[in-house]
Amino acid sequence: MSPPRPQLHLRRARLGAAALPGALCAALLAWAQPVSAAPCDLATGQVLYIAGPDSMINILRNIAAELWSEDIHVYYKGYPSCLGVQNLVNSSPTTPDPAEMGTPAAHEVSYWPGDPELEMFCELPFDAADPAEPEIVPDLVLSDVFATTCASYPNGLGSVQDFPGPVLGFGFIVHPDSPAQSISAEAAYLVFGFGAESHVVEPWNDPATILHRDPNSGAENVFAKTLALDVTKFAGTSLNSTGLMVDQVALATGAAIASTIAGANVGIIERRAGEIRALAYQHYEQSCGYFPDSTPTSRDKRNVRDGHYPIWGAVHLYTRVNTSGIPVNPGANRFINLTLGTDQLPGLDPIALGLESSLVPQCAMNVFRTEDGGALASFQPPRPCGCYFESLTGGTDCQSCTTSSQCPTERPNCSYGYCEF
Amino acid sequence: MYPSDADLPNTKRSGPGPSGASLLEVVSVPSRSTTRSLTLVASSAAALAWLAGCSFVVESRDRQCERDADCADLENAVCDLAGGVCVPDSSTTTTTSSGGCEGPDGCYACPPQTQVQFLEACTDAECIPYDNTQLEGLLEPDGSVPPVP
Repeated sequence: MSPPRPQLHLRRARLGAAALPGALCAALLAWAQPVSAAPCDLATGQVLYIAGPDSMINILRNIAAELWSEDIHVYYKGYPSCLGVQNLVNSSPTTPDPAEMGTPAAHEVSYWPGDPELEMFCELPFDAADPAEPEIVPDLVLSDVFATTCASYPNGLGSVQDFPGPVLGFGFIVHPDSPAQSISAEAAYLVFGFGAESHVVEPWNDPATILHRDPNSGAENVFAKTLALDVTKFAGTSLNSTGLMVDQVALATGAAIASTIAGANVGIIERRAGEIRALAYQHYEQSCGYFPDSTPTSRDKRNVRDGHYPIWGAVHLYTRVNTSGIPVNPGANRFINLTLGTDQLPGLDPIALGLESSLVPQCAMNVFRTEDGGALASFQPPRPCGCYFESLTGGTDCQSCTTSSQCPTERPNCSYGYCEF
Repeated sequence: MYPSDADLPNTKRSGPGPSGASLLEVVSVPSRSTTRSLTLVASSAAALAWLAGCSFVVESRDRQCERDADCADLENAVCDLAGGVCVPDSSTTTTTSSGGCEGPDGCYACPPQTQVQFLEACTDAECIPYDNTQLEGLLEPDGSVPPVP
């Protein structure tokens, strides 16, 4: 069966209808009404249903396009981190985003049949008789935070296993003309814990311009865990959109140029460099503040990778495994292996693809942690790619190689084309 | 101060003591990250030498030293008269609780293993300090953050 035709994704469509003649306008509007996507063809190929935030969407859609030719059909739904993990652990189906419930988009998922640039949409089967409209249980859940950040799992996750994926840094942002250059954990705790209602830390002295997301945000949870601040107790002004929050920082005027502060992931900070500026961050018991990168303008993420910059989290890939720790869904196993570089395909480079979202692959990390905001520990990736990562982000001093015999004793392993430790 | 991190070791501010860790510091010259491995090897070898020496002397005399001259075989060491053991000479060496790993400006010059060591590891990355003294009066007397209501 051929896949359904691409559906016009009209949630983002903007039509200049007022300038058009009436009849043409009416016709266009009728054509432009949102329509339900065709039902997903879940009977063909091996279905891999993935739910989670879009932190690694560039990697996901490229792998999904490749897997189509292997008859593994990836269907992806943007979904909150914590809800997805809960669904998987409890073997419960996903339900629509409350904001989309009852709309044609409620059960819509994306898929990429062979071309990462061709995003198509179809509709999951769902129980229309149930007010919650349950769909199907996800095979693989993406989460920007550890499951334990979302909820307590006193008995563990059962047969669900966490495969840590690429790492994403977060940072405090201000207007480019703000006088602030750095912030300590203590200062950030006071700013976001008291919201300038008391314990005022200059120049962040206005509750209306101390901006943050909400407890459902993965970013907010990472900041909370890093600062040891209860995620439900952030003060200041809560916004439900990161885009709006960053806009407010970028468009600050007058006194708000100095008083405005917010937090965002590094991908956004880099995409909007010039409109906003990241502060150096000095953690508890640290004597200096650092950027995610070795300089404010580089992109090497060196301080994230070596433990000088602790505000980061991994994109976790959760799936059900058998007693040997192998994903039960073979498609999930293949997807995870391609994401982590365990499996490789010609022309598919998840490290380079992740850079579009400012992600750091696990193989370029030298530290790890077992809970969000938790203590850092030394990490030696089995197949290191730090040098290769640096080569993609501004250059590396590492020696290039094709075999380990070409490498010096202090860096004896040829990995990803460079001599590594 | 991190509110739940009271047990984290302070790698830069503790003074020397008559412990084995402190003895390491007298012979291991701190270096930058590029020479961490050499430092570790040197420190380990020195530790073995010190331990062997101390063990032999203590078993035979109960006290390792009675005067500084008794520590002459150990580089930059003086006698702690109260404890009767050789200790690093604080007048000639930089001594901390970081086990001989103190680099320039107090950074941690050995391979980091703990949270604080990672945060304070020697690096040539740019950094901008935040002066927490401007938070005086906003933090608890011990420097920790106050509870949020």
